[in-house]
Amino acid sequence: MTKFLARRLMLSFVVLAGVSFVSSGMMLIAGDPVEVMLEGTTTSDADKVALRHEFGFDRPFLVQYADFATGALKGDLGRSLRFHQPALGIVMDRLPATLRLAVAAMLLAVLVAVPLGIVSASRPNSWVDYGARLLALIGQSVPLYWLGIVLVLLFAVTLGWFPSAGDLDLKSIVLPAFTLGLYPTARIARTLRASLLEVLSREYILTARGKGLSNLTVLSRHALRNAALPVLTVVGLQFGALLGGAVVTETIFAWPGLGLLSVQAISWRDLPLLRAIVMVAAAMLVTLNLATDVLYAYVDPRIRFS
Amino acid sequence: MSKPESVDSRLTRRRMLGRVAQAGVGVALFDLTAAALAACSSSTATPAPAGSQKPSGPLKVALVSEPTSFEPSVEMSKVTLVQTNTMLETLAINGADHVYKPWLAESWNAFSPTRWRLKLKQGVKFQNGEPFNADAVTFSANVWLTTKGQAKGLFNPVFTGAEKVDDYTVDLVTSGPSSILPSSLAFFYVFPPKYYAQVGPDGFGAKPVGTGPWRFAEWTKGVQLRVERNPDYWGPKPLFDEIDFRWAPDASTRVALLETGEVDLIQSVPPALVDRVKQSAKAHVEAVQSLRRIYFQMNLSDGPLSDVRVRRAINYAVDVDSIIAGLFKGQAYRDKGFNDIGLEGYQPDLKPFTYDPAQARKLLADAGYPSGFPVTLWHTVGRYVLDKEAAQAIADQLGKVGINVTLMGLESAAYFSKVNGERVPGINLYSSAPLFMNALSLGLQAFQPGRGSAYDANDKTAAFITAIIGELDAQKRADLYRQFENYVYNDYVPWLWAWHQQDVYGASNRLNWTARSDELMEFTAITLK
Repeated sequence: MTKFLARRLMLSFVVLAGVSFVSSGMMLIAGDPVEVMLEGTTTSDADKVALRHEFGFDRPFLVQYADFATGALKGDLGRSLRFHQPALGIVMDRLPATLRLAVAAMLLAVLVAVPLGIVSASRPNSWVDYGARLLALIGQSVPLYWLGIVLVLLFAVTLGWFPSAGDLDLKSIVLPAFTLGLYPTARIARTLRASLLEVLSREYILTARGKGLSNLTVLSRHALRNAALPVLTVVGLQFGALLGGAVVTETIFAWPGLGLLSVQAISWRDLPLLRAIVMVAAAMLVTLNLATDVLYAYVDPRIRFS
Repeated sequence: MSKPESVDSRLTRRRMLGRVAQAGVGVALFDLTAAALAACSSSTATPAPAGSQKPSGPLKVALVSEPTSFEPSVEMSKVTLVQTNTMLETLAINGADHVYKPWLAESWNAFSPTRWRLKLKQGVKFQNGEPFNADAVTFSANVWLTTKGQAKGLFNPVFTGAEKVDDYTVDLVTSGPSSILPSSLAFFYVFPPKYYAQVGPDGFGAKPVGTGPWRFAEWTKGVQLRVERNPDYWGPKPLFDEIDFRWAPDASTRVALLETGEVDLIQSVPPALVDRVKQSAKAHVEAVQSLRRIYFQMNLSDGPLSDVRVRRAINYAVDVDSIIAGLFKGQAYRDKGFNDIGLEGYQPDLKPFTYDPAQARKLLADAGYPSGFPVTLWHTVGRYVLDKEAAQAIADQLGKVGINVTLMGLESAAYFSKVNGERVPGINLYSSAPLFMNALSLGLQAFQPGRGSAYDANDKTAAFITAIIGELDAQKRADLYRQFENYVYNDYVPWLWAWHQQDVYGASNRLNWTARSDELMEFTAITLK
């Protein structure tokens, strides 16, 4: 297990190093940050040269990258051009809102998807199954942007049940969580259905039924546990997808998280801030994948010892 | 695997799941449940008592983006200044008619070629109790001259220092006669010296203190800024006790906030959503011609564009009116010259170029290009309203007189880096809105040598700028502005003149509110219907 963990940790580090290099390279090709920072002002060329020097943008790329990488190891992800503050601090301020939204969306997804998947698999090709599968299909096909706007028009503008945007009160989280949670709901429901159907056709399930166990016992004690393995992976991976989805969802709902911040960082051309967001998101994703792997290894001993 | 190990493994799994649940799921579940319960209780609409003269709640405003600092020398974008202006004040103030007038400075006069004497308003206090006086102005002057923020270098061409004469008199020192000083005072925000020195620019930007009609109350990052009435405000009392600013970068979100009554005012309604606001029972549209102009600079250093006949031909070849009517659905305004209504020396009689492709062909032939020439047109993509589409339309129209355009569209970060950094050949889209209410605010950018964006600077434009800055007689200065503009527009022709943007706002039907053309929003004059 220690070897397994060490290997995974090393791989995670390599991934993060790769992400930091690529995101720093993207900064290089995205244009001169000082020029765009001062767009619309009448700053003279001499002042721009001074600013470039002050921020260190006039140094060779590899020197800038080495500087960033050394700082990153100590928890310094550079300074935001727009906020004039350490970028990591700004990102960490916004992270809780995104986590709250992601957890709410995932909770909603699991609460809806698991019963849906079970009902669907326990009565395959029935009208319940068709209905659940249709719902799952819609959930996976609907674009987030469209869904968010439709939910706002229906539940905020027309019915007035929920606020249309912001994070002013508890009601504010409902529409964004639903928007963000629909895709993982569909994905988890479909995965669970497929996995359950496969498990239910196994011989030990036949044995269990042969022993006279009730349908509920067979499902809950024998089938569901084994069918949960792929679902666990999907839940872990979907958390990552939620971070991506948060960019659109948070923008539509003006939700004060990392997704909205990244859109703003792009529009402000605050590339050091954007790089910090990318790094934190990558670190979260890597950690989640690591946690999923570890959890998987605990659940399935074959992984641990392979 | 031994039995004890298996038991231990099961327990670990349970413990892990338990910890996961404790970590975040509980919080989210609480959020969701409470939210669902709360949803049953009431709607979120702001009550709007029809006919009442006193508002029952705060004024709620949704803007495009959240500020990063309320220290104006650090962050001077217009959307931030909309909020900063509720708390901080300037020595002069710009009216909606673009005419500046005294504010915290009651009067000014140039009593020597290098000194402007300012008489300050007495009895004004900062919101923390510090007095507004000459010390505050000299301190603030130093902040402006030494800032490392966005306003770096902004005031350096205007004045070089400030000296206290008495408690309410200050001299601003200039390097020579400076006619642009008074109009620049409308951007001279005043800071309380003790507080600013104590907290520094970052601390001030997070919690500003000024002399304005509202004072800082709370800034919940990403969520909202609340400003509340300054009970000791020296000027006319505004109607609203509180203003809540929220930020929604997505236009449809802002419109939804307005439709539901969650906010009273929104900025930047795109053309596609104007009808939705118009059809709303709760709100209406307020549109105004923006001071922001879009124009196309030409690189005159060599090739066909160095010939003024070719540059005139380009202006005759493009049917700007049809682009405004077709592409912008009429929501833009034909541009001409470089001055604007209300500014010194404005020439209302200046006529835009007429669409005349025959004349364009003739001029091209006269210049030695009867069958046209190839040219590159650089443009932003998505930075300005319909920028890419407009560039395509212009390329198409230039093609009809034989000018074969290659379009180079870039995302704005790369675009300004390229265009300001390299002096690209051909034609490039540019945008400008004067910061100070004088025509030089634009002239400095486009025609003053030493700036990357100044494609069109030459000795003559530099001489005009020097002469205007040095001319303290208003009449003579207005005449110089006219000469400068006539030279640029009639003889020099360095641009393809295009359009002024239209700024569109959405306002609640309960408000009497008028949009300004300088991208700022006025809240003190609001009344209820």
